[in-house]
Amino acid sequence: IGFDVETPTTIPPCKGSCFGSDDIKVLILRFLQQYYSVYDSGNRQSLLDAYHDGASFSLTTPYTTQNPSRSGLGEYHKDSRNLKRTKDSTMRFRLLKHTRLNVVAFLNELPKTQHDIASFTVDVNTYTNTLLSFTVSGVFKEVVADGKSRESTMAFSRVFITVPAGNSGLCIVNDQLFIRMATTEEIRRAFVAPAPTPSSSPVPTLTA
Amino acid sequence: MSSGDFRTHADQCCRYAEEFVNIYYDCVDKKRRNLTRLYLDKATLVWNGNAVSGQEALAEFFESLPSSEFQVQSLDCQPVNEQATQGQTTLLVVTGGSVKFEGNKSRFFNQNFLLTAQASPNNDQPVWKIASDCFRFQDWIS
Repeated sequence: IGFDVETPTTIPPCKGSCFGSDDIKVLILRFLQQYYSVYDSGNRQSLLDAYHDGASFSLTTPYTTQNPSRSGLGEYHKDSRNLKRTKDSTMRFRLLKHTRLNVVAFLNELPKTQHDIASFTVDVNTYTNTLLSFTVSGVFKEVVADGKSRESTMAFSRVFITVPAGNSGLCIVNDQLFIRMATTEEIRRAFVAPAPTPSSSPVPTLTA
Repeated sequence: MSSGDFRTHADQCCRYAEEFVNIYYDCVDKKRRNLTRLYLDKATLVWNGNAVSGQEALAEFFESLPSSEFQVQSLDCQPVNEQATQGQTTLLVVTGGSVKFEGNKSRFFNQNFLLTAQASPNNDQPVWKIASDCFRFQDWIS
């Protein structure tokens, strides 16, 4: 004998990017295109212009029992500020990059990348007069200089908290980056859209 | 803010974030009815691209979700720069892990929260409330 208690088992359908308004969409897409064109350029020093003096940055990788170097995330794993694993407060503090110079110096040391802007999904978390916070997810690959090692495709989820900057731009005050290996399905879909040409529309279109 | 102040602030944030995450996921899994109490009246949630705003809509949304078993595998936090929040003490909390919704397969997720410190009428200490919440399955496309 049981009780006939109705419990839901259907989850709401997943949707694509959630911008909230077309104005914000244009603002964020312009920002992302500019940001990642520098980020992927091979020299991230010019990202200094994108960050606030008191900006913070940290990154995390998934907790794994696998050998991190074999998971392909070795480069990021050593800098991962996963509070579930890192309990020492000095280490926690060291892994939180603070001030613009430290953030950009750190980003400059990360592996060279190429992001697939067509894969990006953007969710706007909060929008006020002084703050625009959004989450970007998508895939990128590491650009290998020597041609010997394999190119690995990875997926990321990144939170940007920004304040308004001149020229209707955005200035990053907080940046948190989560990186994991891409799934087989994500690798299959990655970089299938043709790369945007310089002459095309300045605002990339996102799927979904 | 001097680097010493920032250090103290960052250390505190870690403790708040750990405490919050324990309370939040316990509440989602076991006391879903109480969940909206953790949110500001005007809080916004973006759940796999679905925008939900305000206490009533949130309560309705959470009720519609199947019961869950969350496992948080990664956690990070940052104090939010005060210029962005007009001096309001705010904390960014970022989590990742797996979730099994009843009747569904287990999936990996990423979630992030903005928490703000609010004066409480019943308490000398300010309480943390969720101002925004953003949730996505890692494999939401497939």
